[in-house]
Amino acid sequence: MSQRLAARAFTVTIFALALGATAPSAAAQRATRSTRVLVIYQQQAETRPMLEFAEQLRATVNKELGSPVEFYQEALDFDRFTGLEQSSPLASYLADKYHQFAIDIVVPVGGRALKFAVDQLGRGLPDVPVVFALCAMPQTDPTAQPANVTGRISPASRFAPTLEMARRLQPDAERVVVVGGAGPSDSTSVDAVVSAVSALGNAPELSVLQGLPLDELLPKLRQIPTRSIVIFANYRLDGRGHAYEPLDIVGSIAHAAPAPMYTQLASYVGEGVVGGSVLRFDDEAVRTGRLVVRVLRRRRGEPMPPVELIPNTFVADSRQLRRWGLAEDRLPPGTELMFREPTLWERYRTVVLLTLGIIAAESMLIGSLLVERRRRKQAQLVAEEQQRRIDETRRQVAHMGRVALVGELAATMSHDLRQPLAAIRMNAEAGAKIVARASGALDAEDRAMCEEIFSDIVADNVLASDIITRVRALVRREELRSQPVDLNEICRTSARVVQYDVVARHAEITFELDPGQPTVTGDPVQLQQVVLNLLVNALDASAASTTPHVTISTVVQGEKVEVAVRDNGPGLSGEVQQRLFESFFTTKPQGLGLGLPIVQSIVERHHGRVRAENAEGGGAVFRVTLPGTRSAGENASNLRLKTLQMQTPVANGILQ
Amino acid sequence: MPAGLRVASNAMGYQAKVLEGGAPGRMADRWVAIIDDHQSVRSCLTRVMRLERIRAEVFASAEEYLAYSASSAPSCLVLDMQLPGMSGYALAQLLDRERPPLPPVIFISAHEDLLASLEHNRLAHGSLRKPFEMDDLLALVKPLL
Repeated sequence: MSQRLAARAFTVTIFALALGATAPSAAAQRATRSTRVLVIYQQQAETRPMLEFAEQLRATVNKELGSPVEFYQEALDFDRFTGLEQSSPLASYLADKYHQFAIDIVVPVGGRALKFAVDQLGRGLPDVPVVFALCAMPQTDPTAQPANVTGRISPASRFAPTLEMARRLQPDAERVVVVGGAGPSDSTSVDAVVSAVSALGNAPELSVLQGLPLDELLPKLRQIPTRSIVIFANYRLDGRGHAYEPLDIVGSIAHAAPAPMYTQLASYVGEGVVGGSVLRFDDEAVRTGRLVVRVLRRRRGEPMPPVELIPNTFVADSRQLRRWGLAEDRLPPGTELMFREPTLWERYRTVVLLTLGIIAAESMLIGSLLVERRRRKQAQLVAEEQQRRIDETRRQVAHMGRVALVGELAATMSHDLRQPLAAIRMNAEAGAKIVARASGALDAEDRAMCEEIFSDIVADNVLASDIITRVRALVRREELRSQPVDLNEICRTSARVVQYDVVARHAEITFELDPGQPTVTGDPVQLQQVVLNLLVNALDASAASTTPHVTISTVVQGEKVEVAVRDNGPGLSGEVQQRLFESFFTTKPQGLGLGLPIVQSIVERHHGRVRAENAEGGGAVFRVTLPGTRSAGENASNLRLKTLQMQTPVANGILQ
Repeated sequence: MPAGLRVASNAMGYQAKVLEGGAPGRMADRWVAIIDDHQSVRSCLTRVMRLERIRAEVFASAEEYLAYSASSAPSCLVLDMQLPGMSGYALAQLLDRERPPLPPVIFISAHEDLLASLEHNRLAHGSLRKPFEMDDLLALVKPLL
């Protein structure tokens, strides 16, 4: 009640100031001024976990106190500024800085921040109550603190219970690998892990990877035995003095390790870590905030509330349990399971029931069909009608897909057009200069240059028209044509179409084309669409690699011809491989999921088949096998020979 | 009249005319390498260099340039970013690594996003987006000769 009155008085004061009326008296100012909280971080304050902590702390104190609060914060970053912890100039600077502000309470975050606040700052800000947060025994001894100090502390290293959880999940683990940085707080954490391991009965082998730069740590970690428990102690500073926010790198470290990794901060869970006995910054911020409010509301002469113990919280990431094949029921009792996905039955219950219903209905239908033999003929007619409809739909889908593909290629095409258009303009400009320079008639050399310029311009114009024709051919809805098609040529043209993409992604295309002329009979536009689709997919897939690389190969195998497009991307997972050719199934954010179904339908219409597999040495390979024209196409090649003979006399008269 | 078709200024010295083979003397070992896969761009740039008495050799690909052995390194490279086979940027990296010192490179491309990726890149002496004005190219090339 008295606080609400105080708040109202404060509002009135502000109002009076805003009106420019009489200035409030000094006494009124003191009575109504905000509560001032100084938060001292031992780390940087801009990292995600710390920002969340600060936000929660502020919100809790504001809400629970109910009167205006001002927050001041100092991030001392002791990991990088190592000498500052014992620095009295820093302390007297801070004391001077806050001298005018009458700080009501100091909140050190972390054991070393607390030590600094008590040993160094205490002299400058005597008797100001201190509420510490995120401290742990034995680094901080709660019984050795002055009377004006209280806070929240972990009873012991979190690594002992974390190890307990790891050993429950991996009873056959033979080794514990500790990963840590070279900073002071990293070393504290590493030491804590080491002593927790040696305290274990039947202690496993211990490896410590400490202070390595990230690019050396990751390869080392990849080589550890798989029957290991990896403990991520902390990694704020590497051996070369680079500072890291652990949250940014814990994911890649967890990913490199061939064994499950555990940790002590809740913020790291979700980045690829299995879990552990963790400190939850959000919870701690709220509880610290409440303690701060209790301290601020103390009556005069009332002692500080006692130091509070941070409870043990086990957390595990259910996706990681699945990844490593760890049994959920071996988790310590009371473990909070994060990222739990519903079981197949939970997720698909409706679908399963519906499917069962449909199957039942269908069985009845089939039964009645069997009984009604007389109607069989009619049913046949229905089936034919359905087939006709399916064919029609397939044609429509092929058209749709072509339009979608053109959408993807439109960007490429417009880029292609720029090249000849730019050349035309540059040539025209150069020609205009030559003409302008000649005072009278053009001399022979100028004339020759102008002629060259004009023929260049014509050539570029033809090139631009060709590009446009190529797009039109792809969009038009045409019936299947049947003519001899050189697959090598198709591969080369397709690569030209995506050339811009290739350069922009710093990718590389290698051709391994069979010199034995792999020729098939079919529709050149549709076959080009097949190769283009596979090529675009391969480029997308290989984008995951640091050196994107795609290989297109053709091989003549007896009666058959094979085109293979191989990428060095992540390869195909089991589910993807199964559903690859389903309509509207896609792994791309902007994909329509029509590319491969269309590829399949075109290939089938050419009496061929397409399959996808994981390539040896990584990546995926798509193979299209088509009947070659070598045997069946004897006539076709004769035909070609005749045409050549007819053309030869005209084209090469000298030889005759 | 579009900006690209402005008629040449006298300041660029188009009065001088020289037959091919380049100028004698000091200029003989000074030359510009032009690498572009687009034939008419190559011929256009060759003509402009010829008008300016600048010796220029043209190449249709990075590989063609690498196979060419000259008695002296070029004074500068006019290098298309997008080439069949090895890209223009890859060529500059390779020359910088294996045949240092890298002559000043003026990257050209019809695509501004490719050029934008070069900003603050130490391998790029300059960059021009096609179509560019001949005067802009000459203003970059001439001080390097």
